[in-house]
Amino acid sequence: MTDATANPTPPSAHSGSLLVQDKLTKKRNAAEARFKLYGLTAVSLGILALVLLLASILSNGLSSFQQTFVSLDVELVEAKLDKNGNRNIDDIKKVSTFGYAPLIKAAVEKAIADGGIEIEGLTAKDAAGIVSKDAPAQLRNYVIANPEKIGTTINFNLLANGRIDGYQKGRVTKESAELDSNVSPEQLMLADALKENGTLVKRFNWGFITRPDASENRPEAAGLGVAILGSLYMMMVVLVLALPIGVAASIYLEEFAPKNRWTDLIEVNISNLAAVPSIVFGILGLAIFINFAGLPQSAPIVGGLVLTLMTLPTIIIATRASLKSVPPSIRDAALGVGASKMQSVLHHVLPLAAPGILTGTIIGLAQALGETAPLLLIGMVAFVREYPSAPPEGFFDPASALPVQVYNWTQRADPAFVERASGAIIVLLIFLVFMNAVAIMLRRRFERRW
Amino acid sequence: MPDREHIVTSYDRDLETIQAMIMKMGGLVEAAILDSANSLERRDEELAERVRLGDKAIDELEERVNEECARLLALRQPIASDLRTVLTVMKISANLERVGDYAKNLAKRTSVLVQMNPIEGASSAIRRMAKTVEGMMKDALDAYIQRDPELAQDVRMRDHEVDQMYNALFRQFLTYMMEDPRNITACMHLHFIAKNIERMGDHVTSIAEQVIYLSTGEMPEDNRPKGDSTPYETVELD
Amino acid sequence: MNDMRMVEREVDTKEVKISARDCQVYYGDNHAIKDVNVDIEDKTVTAFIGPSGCGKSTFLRCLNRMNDTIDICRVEGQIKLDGEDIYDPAVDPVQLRAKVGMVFQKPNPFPKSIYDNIAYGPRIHGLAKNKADLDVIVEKSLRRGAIWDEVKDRLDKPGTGLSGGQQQRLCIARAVATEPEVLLMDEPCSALDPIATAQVEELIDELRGRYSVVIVTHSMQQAARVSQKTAFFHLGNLVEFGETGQIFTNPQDPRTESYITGRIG
Repeated sequence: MTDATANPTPPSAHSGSLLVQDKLTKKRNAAEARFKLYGLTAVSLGILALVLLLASILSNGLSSFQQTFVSLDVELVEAKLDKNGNRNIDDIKKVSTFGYAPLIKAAVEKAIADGGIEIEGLTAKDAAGIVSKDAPAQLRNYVIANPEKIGTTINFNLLANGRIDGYQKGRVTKESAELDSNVSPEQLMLADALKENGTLVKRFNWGFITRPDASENRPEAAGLGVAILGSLYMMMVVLVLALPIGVAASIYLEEFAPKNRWTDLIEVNISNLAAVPSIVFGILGLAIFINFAGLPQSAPIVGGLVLTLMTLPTIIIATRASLKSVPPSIRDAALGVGASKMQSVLHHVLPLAAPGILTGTIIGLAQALGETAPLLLIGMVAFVREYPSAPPEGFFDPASALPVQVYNWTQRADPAFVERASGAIIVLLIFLVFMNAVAIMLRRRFERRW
Repeated sequence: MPDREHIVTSYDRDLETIQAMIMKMGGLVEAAILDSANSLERRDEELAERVRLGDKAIDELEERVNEECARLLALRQPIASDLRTVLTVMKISANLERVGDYAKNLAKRTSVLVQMNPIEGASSAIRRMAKTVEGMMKDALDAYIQRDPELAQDVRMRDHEVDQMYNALFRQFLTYMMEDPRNITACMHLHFIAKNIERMGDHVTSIAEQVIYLSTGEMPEDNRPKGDSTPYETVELD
Repeated sequence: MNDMRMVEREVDTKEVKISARDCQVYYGDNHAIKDVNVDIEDKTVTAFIGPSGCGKSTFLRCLNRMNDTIDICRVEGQIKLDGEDIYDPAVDPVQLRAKVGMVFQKPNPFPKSIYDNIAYGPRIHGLAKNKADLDVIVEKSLRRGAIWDEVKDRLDKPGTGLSGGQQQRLCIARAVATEPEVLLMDEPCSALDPIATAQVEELIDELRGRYSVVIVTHSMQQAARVSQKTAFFHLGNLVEFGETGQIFTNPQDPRTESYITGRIG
């Protein structure tokens, strides 16, 4: 007691009313508010960038899903298409697309005459030019598929010329047409007139998704079919190879491998591999799979192998993380009832880690789906018009890939390809969003059990 | 018992509290023994009255010891030496309370005896006997504080002396009563007093045994000399 | 008094189930268990007590070779189960663990149905020939685990949906399902509330009729309540091993005394 009176306790640091904030508290609160503001700004900037990106891609690319068609009644003249009149398919095939062009020309002229359209200075060649150069091929394919229709008149929706399509979408104007060797203002006037009487229509462009790539001056005919198939094949290869290899490697490293210098080294290297630039994998693929193993260039199998190499570290890291996150008590429990190490892993640990593994795999696949650089090196940038055949042979046929197709189109001169490239990016994004949605769904689905 | 402290210091305080209460009780009881014997010798009614009143304090202390022990058992769940401490505290306090009751009884009988003719030599003999018991009690309590089983064993052995003193008094009182029947009332009272003191000795022995149990964990073997021969005593009328 | 005790407590010497001789355990350079000699009797509950890090859990895990999963752990000396050295190279730990079951600190049911939790052990050990056999085993084990009445209507519900105490009893039932001879329990009640603890303790007492139970516990009261024999470990040494009543009223070693009475040391 005497001590207490001799040394009075110093006044409490927290003296004063709770209702009044002291200086330090105010300072701390202000710092906290500032910090929140920084964070909010950062998030806003990120969202803004994303929105701008999406907006620019969507504004450029959405129109590629619409395409202008010319609805024409084409008379399939027997004298031209089947001179012998015996509907021999081989004879019909001998007629090239040049044989079909006059039919279209006639059909356009007929449409103009029927519509009573008179445009000064419009030549017959110009008039026929509003239809795509790809249209004769379209017609020929139809005839070869349906030889019995020869001699009848059939209404076709033929692709309009890329410039006419651009005019419909506001990309081409009469002023720009003056300077353009590929289109004349008269053609645009004709297009206006045809649009008025319903011959020129804009419709959803399935061809963009199903058709193969087209040449430089036929942007209206270019599609993603081969690229989508190629990407799909590659993903199949990646999934079939990377998932089992990655999971097996992870299980061994995580559950069975002794902890020593060698496994440490392997671990470090796997982490490092994940950070290796993808183009390095492309060079590796070129050297090993094409030059050494002699696999064909531009083939999905090679692309798939290269992407597998690239995806493996991602899958291994994700799998190991999800194996690690399985509580050790489960392993103990399994061992405790007399399960062997392998039984405990296969029966208990792996099912619990499955959502994490699947998520990691899908994210790895998504990464691979968007990868361009290594594919350029192994020749997948080649212009491919033929669909690859069904797997497994299809894995060895030349094909393109979605991101490479984007790259390819942005290289081309015709502005119509810019629209196509943006459209391809949208398709790619849809694929990615879909895969991520599947990953999220799988995770939700399996995690419920835990 | 390890002299290290408990990790929970309030546990130590609780254990000390009940033991302090025992020591306080022991002090009161020792005084009561001496005072009651003195009041008899000096025929001091006032002192006897004080002893009688003082017993209330002892009883209250015993009750408090019981409460504290119950609390401690419930809250701390003592084991090993701590458990033995609590158990012995409870038993010792019961023993002390009984001894206090005997002292009170002695004081009560003093008030009666004061009214009668004194029996020659009896009072001082009883005082000596009481003094012996008091000394034993003091040693037993010392042994308790010091956790000294040897001193406790010594106390146990000394109970023999008290028994023999009682035997001598028993025979003496029988003789007096046979000599003169008028002495019977006084001698009966005195005999009960002697008997009570002998019982006090037994309780002190029990305390000493508790001390041995406390420090060794085992009750002593039942091999001490038994001095009370009166159950077999007969008196022939000549 | 002594006679009374003789009547009330079974002190007949039981058959020795597990005997450890000069058992040493090393974690790398750390000598975790030193010269432990102990005889664990059949149909008896033996409690291991001691401060954290004293080696009691380590020693427990030696008894079914769960320490094998730790690379740096090395066991020397002899541990015999029914006279057979369990560290003999010819012994397969998986077979051993079927005989010496284990229950862990945290209730760890598999995230499967209650039925599958119990059936897992019998399935991998081939104890059941068909579904009917398995049903019988599951019911019997759940009854032995004193949890049958609570779960019989929801055997297909996940075991993780039970309360903590029920989960732990489920784990005990799961351990019992493989027909072990010894049950090791590593602080089985540390995550449970007092009611659940009491239920598990009651269950342990029932199991005593059939198995040799070894329990590691931090609660001395629990050791006192459930065990017949108690072993006190300190700094890797087995300091004292004896009848539980004796350990808790009159321990012989001052270290035991200090520990159980809560003194510094």
